[in-house]
Amino acid sequence: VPGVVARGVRALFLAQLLGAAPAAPSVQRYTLPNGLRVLLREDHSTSLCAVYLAVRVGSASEESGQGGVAGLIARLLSAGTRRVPDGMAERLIAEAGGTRAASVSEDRTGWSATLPSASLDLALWIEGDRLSSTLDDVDQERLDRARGTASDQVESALREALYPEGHPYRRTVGGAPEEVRAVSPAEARAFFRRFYVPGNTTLALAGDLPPDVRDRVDRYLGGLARGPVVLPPAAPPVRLTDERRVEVHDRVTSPRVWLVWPSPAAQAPGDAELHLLADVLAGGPSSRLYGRLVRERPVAWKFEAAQVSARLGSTFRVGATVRPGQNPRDLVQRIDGEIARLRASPPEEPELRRARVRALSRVYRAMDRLGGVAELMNRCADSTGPPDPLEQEIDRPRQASPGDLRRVASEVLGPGRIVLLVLPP
Amino acid sequence: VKRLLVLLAAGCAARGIGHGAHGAPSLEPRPRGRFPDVPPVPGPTVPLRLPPVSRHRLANGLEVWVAAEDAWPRAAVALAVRAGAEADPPGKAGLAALTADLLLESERVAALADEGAELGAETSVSGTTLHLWSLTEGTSLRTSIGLLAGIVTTPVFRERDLVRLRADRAGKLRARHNDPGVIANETLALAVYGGRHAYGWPVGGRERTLATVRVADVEAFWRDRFRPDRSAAIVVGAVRDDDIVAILEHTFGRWKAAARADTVPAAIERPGPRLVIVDRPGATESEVRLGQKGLGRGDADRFAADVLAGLLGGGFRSRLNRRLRDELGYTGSAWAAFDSSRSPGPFIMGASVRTDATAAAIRAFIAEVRRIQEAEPSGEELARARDGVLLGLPARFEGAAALAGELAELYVNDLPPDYYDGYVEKVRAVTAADVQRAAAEHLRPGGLRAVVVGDRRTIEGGLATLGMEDAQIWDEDGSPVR
Repeated sequence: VPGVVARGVRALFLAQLLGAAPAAPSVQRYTLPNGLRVLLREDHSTSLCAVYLAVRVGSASEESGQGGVAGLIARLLSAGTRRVPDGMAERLIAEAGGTRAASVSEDRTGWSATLPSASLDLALWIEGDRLSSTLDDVDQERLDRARGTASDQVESALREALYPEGHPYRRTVGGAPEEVRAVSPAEARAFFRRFYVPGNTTLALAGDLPPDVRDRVDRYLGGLARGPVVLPPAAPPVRLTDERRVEVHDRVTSPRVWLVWPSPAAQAPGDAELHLLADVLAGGPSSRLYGRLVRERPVAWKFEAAQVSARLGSTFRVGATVRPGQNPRDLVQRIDGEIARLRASPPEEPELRRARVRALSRVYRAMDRLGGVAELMNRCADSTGPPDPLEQEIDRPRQASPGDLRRVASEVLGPGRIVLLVLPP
Repeated sequence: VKRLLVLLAAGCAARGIGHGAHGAPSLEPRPRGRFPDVPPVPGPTVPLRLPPVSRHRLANGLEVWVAAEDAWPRAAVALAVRAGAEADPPGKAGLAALTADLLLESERVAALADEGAELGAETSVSGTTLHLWSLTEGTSLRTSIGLLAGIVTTPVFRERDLVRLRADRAGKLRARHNDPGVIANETLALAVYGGRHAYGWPVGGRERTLATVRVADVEAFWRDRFRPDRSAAIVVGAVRDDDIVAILEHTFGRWKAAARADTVPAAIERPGPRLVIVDRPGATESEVRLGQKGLGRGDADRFAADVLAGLLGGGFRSRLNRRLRDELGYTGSAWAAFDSSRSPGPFIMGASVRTDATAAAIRAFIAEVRRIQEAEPSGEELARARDGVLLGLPARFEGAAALAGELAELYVNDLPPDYYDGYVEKVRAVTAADVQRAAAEHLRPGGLRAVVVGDRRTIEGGLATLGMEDAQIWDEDGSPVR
């Protein structure tokens, strides 16, 4: 198998990069006949394992009129199924000494559990049961109970300004309350049948895996029917040519400004650079915005910058809360001064080094627990990089040069953007 | 876009075939047995897998515990100091926690952030621990530990920081009181221990005690209690033993202990009334707590006591849940635990119960305590309780940061780093007779203190039938209102 050789070479290369790096356990990938892709990473330093099932479906796959259905299904199937009454999955995992979680985004729905590896079968059974459920026992009352109450007005105002009508990301994750209320049990069932199939799913297992782990996966998930072929949602990249200003009222005590640029998709060229740029701009007390918005003259309370990566295109966001007596326009001007600097000249070498080590530290922090490792494995399942997606995560921040950062900043952080002002009620 | 879609679909199909690991690819799943309708049973408990911890001591008395792992180039460092809330002077509850907050105000924290390091602090009854997360490549760890040493051994406490942090903490305390469960826990601690015992106070203090803290108090607390001979540097990660000792010699080696002895203020137990009500008009449920003094972290009966607590209220099928939830329908969940530190902490039982069942729930709690003293538990119950204690154990140690935290907890409670060697075996060895004996020795149903946070008008009549005649009404900060 050529992958093994490549892994070996890669591990060696990485070892040189890291100095005295450990022999990192590598990730094995295979696909079940029904299309389910499996990623395994053995690590026997504890007696625990993480089981993370990720379906490539989220709010981006919803059609108009069914907003929020992906979130509803994530919660419904986290609470229970026909075989596992509401609350039983939580109890089974807790009694085995484990913890679990569910998540949903634009592109992905995930269910995960970390538990003693002696109980791996239990976790696999729960995932197999989840995917083999039909939701035919779901009535309107159970749907109502699965509905969340939160609605994010700021996020929905931003998305409506940023994405054109019909764009998969125009809806917020979770949907607008009136839309979610309109989802019927039949619609939820149809959505589930269409998207939650083995060929659209990856299963990441990390930790103290038994030698016959593949047989066990096969026992609980190999029997699932293949189901229809799923095409992921698609959309051309969003381009803004000029600035759009939006005002929204929300429960905040001081006004807050957001500057938002459409940016390259997750793992696309430029994505890694933008993560580093966000840190140069706003990461910690040595960042440029800390100097400009706090130390030089305290005009902002809280500020942040982030590249929010997503499959069909990301957003680069800078947010800051205006201090009382200060002017939002002045705040935006100060931030813009720093954006212009990023576009004009490369960051200093120490700034980049700082951003790199901080990124690296965060990756290791995420990987300190098996649930984080399995999450990263799933997230990198589609990429074509090195065989061990974790090595890829570690490697990414090391690749970008100061010149790359300047180039990406000047390409992405241009005049086409959203300026969102959040005002108290 | 259409072409892109086709390409994506083709890519998926190719991957599906190329990586099939089980022989010839087939479009149809192989026939398998029916998917089982009942879940597999949890696996057996296994011994804890922890890396060995080596132990050193610097000339100034600083303990050094190192767990060297073959792992990513990062380390978790815990600087554990035996200076916890129990050392707060009378009337200044929260001083230890505020001191830790103020240490984090150091200008060196910015330099740590530049190294990719993160710093946090945690105060418990027995100690204060600074948690550092650092990379270990090149000079990263040396730099981070050097900054940590500066933060701990040469702090500068500023009035303006104290004023702001005091206000922050007070705000957080108020916010915490939105949760009646928090009020119930704090009230029970005060009812069991009284206000002249450190356990009677929340670790973070109360608004009125925080208000009395001055910079001079913080300076004195730090000077008298942050000492190398009462501290341990605990390092877990991709490190080498001798490197760590050398780094610590270099960074913490000049730290000197203050001349003054650091005795903990005398703790005087003065339990409050048998029943305390905290009025929460309109509350739809009552937060009920019952408790008494329990046993210390290092007590020989610890293992039997943990199994006992598990049997009473450690899980979905524990006695309290079967009685109060399944049979009586008073609550969604009830629990029991021994909350232990260096000296005996409280034994607590609790539940959020239906308002109309408040008094009956208290009776049921007490009845369950008596029942476990009167008869040995069955073998099946015992096995479940032992599993309950053990199955969740590995998760507590998952990750370098968690392991460093658990080791710090051992240090501040005067326990050795190898405390967990053989732990699983000791819990497995607990017998039904051990549990009954521990119940007889450590539980005194007649001495239990009860606290209810709920709608007084609705519950008072029922509570009067309990015969706890010295019942009092307190406000949410522990002051009697009647």
